[in-house]
Amino acid sequence: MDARVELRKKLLKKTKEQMNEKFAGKEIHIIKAVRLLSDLDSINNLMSENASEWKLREPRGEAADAFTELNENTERIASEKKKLMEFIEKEMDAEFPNFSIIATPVLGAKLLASAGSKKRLCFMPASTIQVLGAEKALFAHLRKKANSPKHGHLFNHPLMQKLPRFKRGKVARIIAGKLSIALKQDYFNGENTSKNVLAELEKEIAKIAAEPVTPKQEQREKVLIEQHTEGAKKETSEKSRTWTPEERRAYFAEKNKTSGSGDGPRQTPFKRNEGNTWQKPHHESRHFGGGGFAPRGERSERPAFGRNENKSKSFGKGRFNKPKHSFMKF
Amino acid sequence: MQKLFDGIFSKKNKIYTKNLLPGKRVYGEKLVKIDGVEYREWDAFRSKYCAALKSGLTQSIFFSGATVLYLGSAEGTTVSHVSDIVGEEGNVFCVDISEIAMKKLAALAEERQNLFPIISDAQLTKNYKEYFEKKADAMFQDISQRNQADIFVRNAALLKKGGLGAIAIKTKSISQAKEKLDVLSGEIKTLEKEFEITQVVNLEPFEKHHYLVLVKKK
Ligand SMILES: C[S@@+](CC[C@H](N)C(=O)[O-])C[C@H]1O[C@@H](n2cnc3c(N)ncnc32)[C@H](O)[C@@H]1O
Repeated sequence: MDARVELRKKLLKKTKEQMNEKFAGKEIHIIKAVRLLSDLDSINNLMSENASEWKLREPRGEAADAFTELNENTERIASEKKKLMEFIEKEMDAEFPNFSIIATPVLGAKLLASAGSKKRLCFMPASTIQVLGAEKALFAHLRKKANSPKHGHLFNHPLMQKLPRFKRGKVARIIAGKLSIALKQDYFNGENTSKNVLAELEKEIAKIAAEPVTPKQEQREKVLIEQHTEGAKKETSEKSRTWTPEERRAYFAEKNKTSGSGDGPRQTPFKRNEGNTWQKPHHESRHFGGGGFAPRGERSERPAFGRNENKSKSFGKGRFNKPKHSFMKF
Repeated sequence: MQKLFDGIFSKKNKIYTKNLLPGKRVYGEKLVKIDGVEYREWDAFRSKYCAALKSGLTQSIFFSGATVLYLGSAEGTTVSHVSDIVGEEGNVFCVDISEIAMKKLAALAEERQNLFPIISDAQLTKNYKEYFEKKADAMFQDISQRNQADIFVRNAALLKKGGLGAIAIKTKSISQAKEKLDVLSGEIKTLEKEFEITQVVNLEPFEKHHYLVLVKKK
């Protein structure tokens, strides 16, 4: 009887500790803010797109009223975004003085959101930080179906811009290494050395950028671009043409052989949008989480890494795939 | 009040459990007093076990004094009734992965002396198997994951031989495209590794695409 009471006490205490760890930190508000920010970003883009199209058609009367309101709302969202950004900058500087300098505040906050909590982020190996935000690609890779991703959120790092594709992987690795050190300093209240680190990093990357391109690398760059645009175009156009029944059967026989489960092709990370440009579907890591039930806020707080790793292996398949053959015309 | 199973009562097509903490509601359910005993109404639209009771479950897995392993306890809607059924002498170990859902459950566990909250992934039984010196008498699972049956089988080691179990299976979490009966039979095959299947209950109209499978540990 006593043992039972004791066990219950112990479990209650442990549960509380686990919950505190999850909720206590200020980081939860940073995470919420940065998620909101990226949602507002897409909303804002859609609205401005609408506004500029509408403007061309010279709205009058009631249409003009609606148009004005649209513009006002767009502005309001822009100012909310600005406030959010300021909030994120302030909080990130307070919670992660070193990390925030090297990563830049908003990008740092995105990494934090992907990791799920301060503690988890701070104890992550550099190699994991490097691919945070590219979970989909990573798990595709783990299932041995794709190349390993070289960068997730880090792709948007200011130091990565302007670099040719084949150099980005290397640079992402270097930045991730520095970030990992900065995180440990922040977690253990170490010194603030990041300004120097950043300066060094800039020099190092400038050096890499200046390295001459070998013909082999040039070839790789071409292949990479091909993979990202032409390849996807070709694959999709192949699927959207009209198939004869024989072709269709042959196609499925082949697919079933290669993918085993017959779950359809996976390597179509690009979808067509109206302007005939090629765009990544926006669903990636936002709704990352099992196929299961969880209150909405909850689901998005699930860590992309760590505890859920096991589960993750199984869910990439169905959840992110397009309905099996929706774009085929038979 | 008519006794349906141990600790489970019915009256006029409604299902009730005896309130362990008279006067207290858990999720806004109705309280009724009959002959000086207070009962809590069990909502079949919010609890899959109750839905199964209404859909003709032939045997109840919970009984007074039982030690129960409950996987996917969420905010404790169903758990609270299980807690009523097993009574003060019983134990309900509530496993859930989500800290947010656990917030409510932890508050419930403070009040109800027979609840033992555990924040863990139910796939990682090593996190909590140490608490089961004595194996559980009954095991319940309501987790909408792709590998639900697999998770249940992994936890089978914590259930005593001959112990009863029930698992709510959401066919939509396993495959959107496959016919639901195909999915169900696939899951049942997995369960048969460790269990004998006693009954399969379709939970419609209370829950769409859900079944409750009643099993017995081999
Ligand atoms: C449908 S709810 C359960 C509802 C509950 N049985 C009731 O009737 O009150 C499913 C719960 O399973 C939890 N869950 C999902 N995956 C889990 C996992 N791998 N391990 C443990 N719990 C999990 C979710 O957090 C969620 O709270």
